[in-house]
Amino acid sequence: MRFLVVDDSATMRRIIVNSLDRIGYQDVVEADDGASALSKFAEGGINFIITDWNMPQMSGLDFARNVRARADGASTPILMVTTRSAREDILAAVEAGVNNYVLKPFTPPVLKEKIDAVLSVSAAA
Amino acid sequence: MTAPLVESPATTRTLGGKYLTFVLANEEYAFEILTVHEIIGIMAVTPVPHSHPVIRGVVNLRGKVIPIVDLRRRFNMTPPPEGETPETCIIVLNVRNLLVGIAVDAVSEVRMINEAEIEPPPSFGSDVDTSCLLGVANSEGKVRMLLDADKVLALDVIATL
Amino acid sequence: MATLTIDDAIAAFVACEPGDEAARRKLRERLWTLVADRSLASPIRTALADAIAVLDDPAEFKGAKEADGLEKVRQALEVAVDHAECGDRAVSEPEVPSVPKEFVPEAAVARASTMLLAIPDDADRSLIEDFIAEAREYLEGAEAALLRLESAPDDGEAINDVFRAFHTIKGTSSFLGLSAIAGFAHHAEDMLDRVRAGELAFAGQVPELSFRAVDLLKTLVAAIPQALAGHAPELPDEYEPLSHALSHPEEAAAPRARTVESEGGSAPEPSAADHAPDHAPVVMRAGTAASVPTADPLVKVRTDKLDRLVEMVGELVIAQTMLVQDGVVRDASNHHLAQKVRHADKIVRELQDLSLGLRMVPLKGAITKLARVVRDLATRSGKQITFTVAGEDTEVDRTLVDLLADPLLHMVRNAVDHGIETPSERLKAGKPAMGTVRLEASQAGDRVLVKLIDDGRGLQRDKIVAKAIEKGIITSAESMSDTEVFDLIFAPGFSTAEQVTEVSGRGVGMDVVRRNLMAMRGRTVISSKAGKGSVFTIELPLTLAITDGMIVRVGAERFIVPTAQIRRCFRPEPSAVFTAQGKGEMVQTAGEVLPVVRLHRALRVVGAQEGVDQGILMVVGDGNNRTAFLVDELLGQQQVVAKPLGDAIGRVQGLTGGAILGDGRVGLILDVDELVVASRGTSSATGVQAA
Repeated sequence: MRFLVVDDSATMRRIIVNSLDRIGYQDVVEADDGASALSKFAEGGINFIITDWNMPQMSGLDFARNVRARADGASTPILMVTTRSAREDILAAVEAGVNNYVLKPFTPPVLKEKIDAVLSVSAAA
Repeated sequence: MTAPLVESPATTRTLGGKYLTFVLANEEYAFEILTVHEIIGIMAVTPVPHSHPVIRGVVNLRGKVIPIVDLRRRFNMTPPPEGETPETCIIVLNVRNLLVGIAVDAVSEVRMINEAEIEPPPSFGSDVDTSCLLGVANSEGKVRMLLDADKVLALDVIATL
Repeated sequence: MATLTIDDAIAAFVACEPGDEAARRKLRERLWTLVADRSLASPIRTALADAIAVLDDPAEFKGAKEADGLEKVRQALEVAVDHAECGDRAVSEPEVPSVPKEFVPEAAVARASTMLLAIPDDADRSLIEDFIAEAREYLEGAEAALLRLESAPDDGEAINDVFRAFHTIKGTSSFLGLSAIAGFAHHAEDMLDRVRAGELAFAGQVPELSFRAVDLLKTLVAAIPQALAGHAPELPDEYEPLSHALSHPEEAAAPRARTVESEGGSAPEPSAADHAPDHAPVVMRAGTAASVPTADPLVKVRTDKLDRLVEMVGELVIAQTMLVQDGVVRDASNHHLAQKVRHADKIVRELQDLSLGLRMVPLKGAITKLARVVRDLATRSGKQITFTVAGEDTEVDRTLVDLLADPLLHMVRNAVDHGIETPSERLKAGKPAMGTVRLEASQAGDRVLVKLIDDGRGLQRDKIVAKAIEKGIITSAESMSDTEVFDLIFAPGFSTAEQVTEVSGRGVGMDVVRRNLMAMRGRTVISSKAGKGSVFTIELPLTLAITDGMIVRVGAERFIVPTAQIRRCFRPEPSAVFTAQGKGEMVQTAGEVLPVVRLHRALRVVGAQEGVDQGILMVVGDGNNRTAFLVDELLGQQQVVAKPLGDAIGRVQGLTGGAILGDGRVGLILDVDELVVASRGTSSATGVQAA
């Protein structure tokens, strides 16, 4: 299972990568903005995307839309990392094709729960 | 210059161990081997104007500039009557990551000195400022003064002499 | 999971016993699946989203509030069920309980109980260290964006940059258990979010509050190492009031006069919220600015390794030079050897350029801070100043950027405090009320020029002379040229350290500034026109890694004098040298009279030439400091790599360091300026006093 972690903050990426490591996922590709994340996705082999919402240039939502617009990105699970959860945010995320989101700060078990939730839904779909 | 070369810590430790012994004005001294970085032959020393009197100058140690402390001057001894000999050499000490060269008359050997052979420094009767001594080793009929590298390089002490 | 229906959600809700967090999380995941199901009507999904929003906010379920939280979820679910049952029938807009707009990190709540910047015991130190560095970068970026907003308050990209800084710091610090920082950043982020949404204009108190928020966060971040060391520092006094003000920017005190935008008098600035519609909507533009991270992969390298590399390449260049100049290589008969050496030479030169480039950084870092200084000083002194910058991308050696900070600060302070007049004075003088201070950086060959140009009143000769006499620096300025008089501001004792302290937090006099610049082989030049303004110029080498030096012989010793500081060398006529009473030896040359410093005396070298006409005089220094050094012989020029003499020796007066000469011995590099200053300090220019 290969993860793509997208966040402009290097510290945040380290936090996410460390959390993934603790719940047993070691195969991680990192990107610091939407554009480079897209090109890393295009290289293939990504099974799960974790992206920040608020990033310069291309937001997490735009990145999700771009992934969904690709033939090979229609079904890759996308988990959004955010600090906001309001009606508009939830709807906007869903519209953009985001599978779920996780609120900062989270613990590794919470992250695992979210990943498992997303995976069980996509497996059933 | 009044600043210390390095600060002197107040520590208690066991003194037994390996020492590098050397000769200065026909007396035997020793530094703990752990403080010795390397031994190099005497080389052209560039005097540094306005530096402390015990600083003989600086030399090029493979591209690094390091100072040379003249141990005879440090202990208020007269310069050797015969001048520099082929035996004269520089012991490079590494004290808290500072490299400092010490010019001595000759290096003798690395030897094990047992704790039992070491006595506390005498309170008087030595040419050497006893505050620089860790102790005095007496083995096989030879007396060697064990120097505290930290204190030898603490020049603030000298400035007040 | 298309089979999932609202009934499943209701079932999950019913399973939510008080205190059962896992059940709530299960409910939340079911709701999410439903929201994502586009076959459901949009009002249903909206109501379900509301329920999720409540579930996502831990504050809603804290202790006794849990029942209320569950009630809110129940109401939202009921709205969804109503919509589902009514089908297409029109339903009035759902009456949903107010949903928290934003998740407040638990940290923000925890903060109130403790007024310390505490760090949890289990914190990941290396992550926190990363965070410190990153937070600093974000805050620098936010500050730069705030300054852009000063002149363009509707720059949406800049607002986004500021928002993102607060946002990222909040998010990351909450993970690291830095609750005080997360809590404060949350308030700052909140205010900027309202600006971003067009609810609040970037006007009134908002810019000031933003600047103060950046400052406070900087202070908090700077205090983390102390907290890590186990001494949790107290939060600054401003923490609470500023947090409150950020949450309620409308009620903050009456706006202060602004630096830049106060032209035309500050119209009563109303509560910003009222006026929001008047302002252009916030436009989100595609990023163009400097904050865009590069796509090229980067490698972090320790600076000491980099310094060592640059130093070794410097040694290589010097070794190569000696090789090229070797008699055997230059011998015409060794054609092939010469060819090979030339080839190696070319590679070494390229390697040199490349390695020096590695350590080059733009001046931007040192300059950004100045805009803020100008702004603060102008506000305080009631002056109107436009500060512009050109050439901030000019690159210099990393080691020089830090050293430039003090000189630049002094220059800027001088320009604002003494250069630019008050608006009324300016109008009276027929100038626009708004003064300008311009900073221009450029590269000229292997030197960097930084100019600070103001259109103020110019340096006032009379005032400088009066102050210099009062301070006992000179007794009369009768025979002094303007340049010489202007140069007095660099004299020891002329400017006092207290003047700078309040701006920079550290006090360094102008004389020290010049001395530091000279030590970096730099120079300062002042030109000024009464009523028109002044230009302060700092000139520096691009790098300190390699110095062009003149090797001189004094007695049996050799010293290195940086070539950049040598104006010329000459052998004096015996008659040109004379002794002025009480002033020591002087030499008359090319129309000027210069004091003579016998280097062998200043450096206590024995066996050197005593007769001045037997040696060479070397003119060094600028302005009033021009001095002739007496040396025995010029041995030739050489590029050298400057090295410190080592901590064990420390700083020795009159020397900047040492370098390895061609024969492997160490040569000492002279601190020309210090030797000059020291010689002036003694009555007869006979020598530098030992420390």
